[in-house]
Amino acid sequence: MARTRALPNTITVIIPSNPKFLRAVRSMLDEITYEMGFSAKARSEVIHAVDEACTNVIKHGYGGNFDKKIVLILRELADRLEVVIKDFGKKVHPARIRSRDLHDVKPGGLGVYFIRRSMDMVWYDMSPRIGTELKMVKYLKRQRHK
Amino acid sequence: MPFNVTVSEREAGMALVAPAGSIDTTTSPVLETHVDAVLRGAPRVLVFDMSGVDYISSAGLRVIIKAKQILAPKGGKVMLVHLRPRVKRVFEIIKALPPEAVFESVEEMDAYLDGIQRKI
Repeated sequence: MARTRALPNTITVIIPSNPKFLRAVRSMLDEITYEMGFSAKARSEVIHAVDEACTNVIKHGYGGNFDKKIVLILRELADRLEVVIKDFGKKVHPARIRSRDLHDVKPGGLGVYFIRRSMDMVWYDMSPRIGTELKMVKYLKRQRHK
Repeated sequence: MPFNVTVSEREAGMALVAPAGSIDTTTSPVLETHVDAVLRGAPRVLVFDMSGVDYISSAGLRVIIKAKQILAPKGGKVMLVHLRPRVKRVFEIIKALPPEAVFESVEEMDAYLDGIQRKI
């Protein structure tokens, strides 16, 4: 297991399950990933993955209900950013969270495709009693502000 | 920045759709309404001027891909011009459009279309 720097910086943000707040989340991620030294491409990928994941929570986990809550936990480590997105909605089994082909324009699935293409590690933790935790990792790969 | 869409006709059969702002799950239905109206006119070429777009999510991509899928069987084309680097990267990451459908400027796109016209 890779040894990482102690004392990671962890940021926890709680937002209502309303898509109008995702713009603020995107701005925050832009700042954080810039400060961490991610390349412009990697920053775009992280921002899009988190945006798509939150959109999926609102749409599928909460059935479009805007007054629930989404918890974002961002942990900055020396070599990577870890992102956890927790919801308290309907559990969607990972086997059903399938990635849809890009040219299949039916609703749903394209966001998952994007998340899997954008992040280095993606997995769904179904163990919480209520809701789902989506865990994602993006490695720095020593690219700085390209 | 509030989202808005401007629609115009550059020339006969060539529609220009210029969204401005972020195309995400809240704004893509607005774009889709405008695009659907344009598609009803069966344009030969549908150009998205993306100069005013600072973000596009899968919901926005879906609108553009759907337009491409509707026009392609009729011999129509979807083209994109003036993509900002961040938006261009989204298309590159998921290989949403072939390189010949993305142009730095309207002039570059015109030159490409003229080239096709000369071959016919």
